[in-house]
Amino acid sequence: MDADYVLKQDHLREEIHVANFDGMPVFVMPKGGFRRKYAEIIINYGSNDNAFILPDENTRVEVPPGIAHFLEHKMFEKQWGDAFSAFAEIGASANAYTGNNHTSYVFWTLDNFDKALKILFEVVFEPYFTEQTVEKEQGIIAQEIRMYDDQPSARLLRETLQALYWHHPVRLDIAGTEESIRKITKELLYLCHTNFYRPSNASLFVAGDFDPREIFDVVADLVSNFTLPRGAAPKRLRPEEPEGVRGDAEVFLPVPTPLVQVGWKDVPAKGSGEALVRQEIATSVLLDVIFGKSSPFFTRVYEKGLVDDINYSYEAWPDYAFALLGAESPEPERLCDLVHEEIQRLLSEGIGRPDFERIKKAALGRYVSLFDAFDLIGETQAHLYQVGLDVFSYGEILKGLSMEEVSSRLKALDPNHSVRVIVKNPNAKKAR
Amino acid sequence: MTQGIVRDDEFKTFEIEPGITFRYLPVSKWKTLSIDVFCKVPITRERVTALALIPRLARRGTVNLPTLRDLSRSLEQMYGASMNTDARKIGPVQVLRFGMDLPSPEFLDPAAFGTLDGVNLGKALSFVWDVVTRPYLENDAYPLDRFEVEREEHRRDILAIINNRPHYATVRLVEELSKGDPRGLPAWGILEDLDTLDPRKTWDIWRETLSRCSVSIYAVGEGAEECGEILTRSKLFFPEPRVSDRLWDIHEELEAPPLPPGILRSTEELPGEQTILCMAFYTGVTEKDPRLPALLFFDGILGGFPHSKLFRTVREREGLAYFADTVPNTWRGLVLAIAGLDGKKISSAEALILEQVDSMKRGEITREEIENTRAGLLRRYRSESDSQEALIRRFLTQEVLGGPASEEEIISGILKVTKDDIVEVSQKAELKAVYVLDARKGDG
Repeated sequence: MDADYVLKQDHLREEIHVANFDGMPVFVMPKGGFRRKYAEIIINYGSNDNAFILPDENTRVEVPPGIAHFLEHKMFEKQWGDAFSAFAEIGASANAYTGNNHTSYVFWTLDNFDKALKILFEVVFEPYFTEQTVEKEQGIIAQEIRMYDDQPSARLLRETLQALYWHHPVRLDIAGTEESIRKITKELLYLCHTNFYRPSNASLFVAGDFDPREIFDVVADLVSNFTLPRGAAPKRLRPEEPEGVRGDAEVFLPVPTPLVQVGWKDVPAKGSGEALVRQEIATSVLLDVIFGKSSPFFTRVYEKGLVDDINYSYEAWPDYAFALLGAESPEPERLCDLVHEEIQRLLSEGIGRPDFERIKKAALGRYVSLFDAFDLIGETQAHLYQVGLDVFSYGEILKGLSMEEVSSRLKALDPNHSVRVIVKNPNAKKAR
Repeated sequence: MTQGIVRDDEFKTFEIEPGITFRYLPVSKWKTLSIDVFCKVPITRERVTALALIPRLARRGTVNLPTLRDLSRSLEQMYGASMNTDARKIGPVQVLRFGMDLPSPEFLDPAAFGTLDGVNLGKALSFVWDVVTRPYLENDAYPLDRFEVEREEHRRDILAIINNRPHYATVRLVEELSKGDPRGLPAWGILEDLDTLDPRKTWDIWRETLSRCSVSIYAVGEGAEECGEILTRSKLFFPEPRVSDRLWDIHEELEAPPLPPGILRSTEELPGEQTILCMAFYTGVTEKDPRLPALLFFDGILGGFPHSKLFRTVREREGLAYFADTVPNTWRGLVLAIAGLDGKKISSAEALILEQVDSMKRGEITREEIENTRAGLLRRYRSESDSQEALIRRFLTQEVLGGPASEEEIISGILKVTKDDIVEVSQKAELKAVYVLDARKGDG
């Protein structure tokens, strides 16, 4: 069958063919010359969705933190056996990821694409949980949680989100805690699966060297052979979140050099999805201008031996938004002070036009490179589709970005809405 | 100078001058052009630490772009090109990499930029070559302040390996197995030796290295062929002239260091939540051994895939670990098994891993395990042609260690492996070391 419509970008020489099946959008990106074939089912359900109202019953439900991730683990176990082995038998490799707002199931293969896609549908849409397998998974995930607990950078991120947010579930670990996952039962898993894993709450992204029409035929076939639940996913509930932050924090781990992160709590743009995406792009470019390797700030702190590298990012979702800046630094407090001083300076002096133009040019170039990464394109497309945009409109927004728009985002970096979190060595503390 | 046999099923190759090879793949399916210069140096205690600093010092500035900021701005002007420099190790050879990924101009939208100025392959190549050979110097040495900062950052980098516990465990295990042998030194050098370096000595070592090391330049993507034309037209600059008969032969000494007798046991305490268990099995099968494909099956069936024995027993059946994998080291003929566990479960996990190896020695390998591994290995190697990085890595490894490089050769090797071949390699597998990074003690 043919696509409902085709998204195109002439300069990039890329196309995305789109069709809809039972409310599930299917995106096919033909990639001539590539051997790998890639598919990803993205469910709009993540670790933040711990409280919701069931669509039919109007009942409010609260589930233990970490359940979306637990569910992702359990979807690979089937009555007929282990889905990883089923993928392996036909030469495919599979994986899955849980984020704050999404859960993704992916495979890549060279041959047997149709068969692999069928297994992926089974993985995602045919749950099979038993008390015994749920109990066993609790042990595995407990080890996963401990593994992240031992990773300074993972701890830093979690502690920063906890320092920024009072109640919003983004502050919780995606995997939950050892305590919270003990409360997960097979009944709760079925409840979450039935309500969120439905075509109207999912999308499928496919990339590889093939004819999109053939893919749509395969999907049409699969959709007619699976019993997929209709209707919308539950309404998610979010607790009231105050505007202010909770406060700074310190974590003690055996790290050779302290790690530091500054977090800023921002207010997401209201109105349209496009406004939110513009906010995200403009703030990301701003962070690049201020803290990127070509900035005077970076040179200054680098030459003082305060940092080797600075990582920064910005996220905006309909219900929350934040910016992060992290580094390894022998003098974390001083670095934080310099970060805030630099923002104050720019608030009074403004950002330079040549800097803005150069960074924008680089961002447009990097946007082109994005199209070599099937997974990034898939996730970006799925995310943008939800707000009524697509991966090419992202490029268009970037192209039209003005310096005024970027400058106006300085307000997102207000020190009054910021926290600093430091991971340091407990022995270093004693020595002092 | 002996060069490894170069098979050019994928890459086209020519020698620019003795010891300098250009290999390119002009394929336009990617949106970026990848340019990499690799300098290959036989590892020695005297050089390793100084050379490990070079990728850092190189990023600080060149004669034409003296500061970090100048370099960064220049990359941004080239439409967000990225520069990557690092020191790695292939067998007993330290390999310094100076690379650039450049968005291919033909995919850029001129309307977005006014004009597409500044996209010029000659400029990109000079940029990379300057980074390699023309660092910004003062009085024939790296500027002291820069040198001090980079040395300190490098020291922190080495110390920070411990932040990734599973990685640290494998590093420590290999270190224990290589004690005292320079061939076993890590690519990042030796912490204590950092203090013996100074800006002039470091530059002298690099200048001499440049005049004697073997260099491979790779270009993959749209424009790769043009890179070759530019390189042949221009005379490559070196701070010290290269003389053919003084060039180092990286193939002279490729043997891996001998392993100590018996089973080495080592435990280190590091307070935390999860204990790491790392075990080394020696098979003796290395890169040039005809049994190499069977070694890949041994590794794959034991712990290389989610359908492997370790994943299915240690993780899925017993629920002991979140990760329980293996990685082959084909230079040393080793397979390393690694798992993150509750500290109380270390001995049962060790016994379980040993039991899996023993079962393979007894021939307890199902047809399904073999065929799933075959499918997995075929996918892994065949899909390398989609990744610029994977292709370069494979051919570079072959340049140093020999062994198969062409896809056809690798695939036909994998297709031929039988159960008997895998059992034969399994039976050679001998436990040589157990390393535990114990998170329990010191908890107070």
